[in-house]
Amino acid sequence: MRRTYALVQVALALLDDVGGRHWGYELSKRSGVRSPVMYRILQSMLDEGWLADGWEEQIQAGRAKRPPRRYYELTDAGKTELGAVIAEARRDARFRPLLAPPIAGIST
Amino acid sequence: MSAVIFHVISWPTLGCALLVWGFAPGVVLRLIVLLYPRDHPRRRELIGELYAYPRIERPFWVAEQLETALFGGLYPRIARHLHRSPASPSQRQTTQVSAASPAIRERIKVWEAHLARIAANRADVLQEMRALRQMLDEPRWWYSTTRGSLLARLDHLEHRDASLRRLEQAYRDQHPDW
Repeated sequence: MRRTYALVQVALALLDDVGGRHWGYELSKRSGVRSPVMYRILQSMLDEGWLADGWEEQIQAGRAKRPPRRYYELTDAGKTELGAVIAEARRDARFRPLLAPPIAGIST
Repeated sequence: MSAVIFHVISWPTLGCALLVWGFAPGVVLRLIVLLYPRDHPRRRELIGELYAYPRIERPFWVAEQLETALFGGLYPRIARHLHRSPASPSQRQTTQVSAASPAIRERIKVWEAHLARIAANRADVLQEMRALRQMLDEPRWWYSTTRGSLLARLDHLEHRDASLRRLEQAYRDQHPDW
């Protein structure tokens, strides 16, 4: 998978909660990536086996009176691979602003 | 000018705006997802996601989904129709693995590992589907309140199986030696 800015943003959002379920809307908000781009990345991750997907329980969705939502979970391979993506991004100057936010009051 | 302002703030205009902003996103999204193939999980996913978004953001989000559907749904559909389906492995000219270069051999090894992983995942999915079907056939589950969630799980597994089958086919078509 190509190391893009959006991939690193999605990887950071996924690794924020390693064992949890990730939902489209929340993931898009946390990563700050537009949903068409995010869905393309999620599909590639599913194809690579980095993510597993599932559907919200019918009862839970019924209680909220809306259709069930799809969720994504990191697989063991995904945790390793995304960890490697972040480690690689840390060494890359392109991703520096994303991984090392400037500290208030300190000019670079 | 005052007539224009009057029209903008009139009740019919307000009603129309409420209709478009409150009702149309759902309808438009349901039309957009038709661009995906019938068994594509994104059809259900996008409709489920719509209601997670705040009402004010929905029209913009739906507009974005047109892009998702054009590239993720329509493009593969058209490409499948335009291009000839790939030849079966028996029709292809293949070289012996032992005669291939080390780089190709390495790629074949990765390819085989991927295929094995997909096959193992599919075997797990099929096993769970069989167990679920057996459970659902038992009379004690016929009227159980959890029957709905079992059916939903079965539905999900069927989608997963279909997507793994597609993935397996795609990998088979991308043999590194061809």
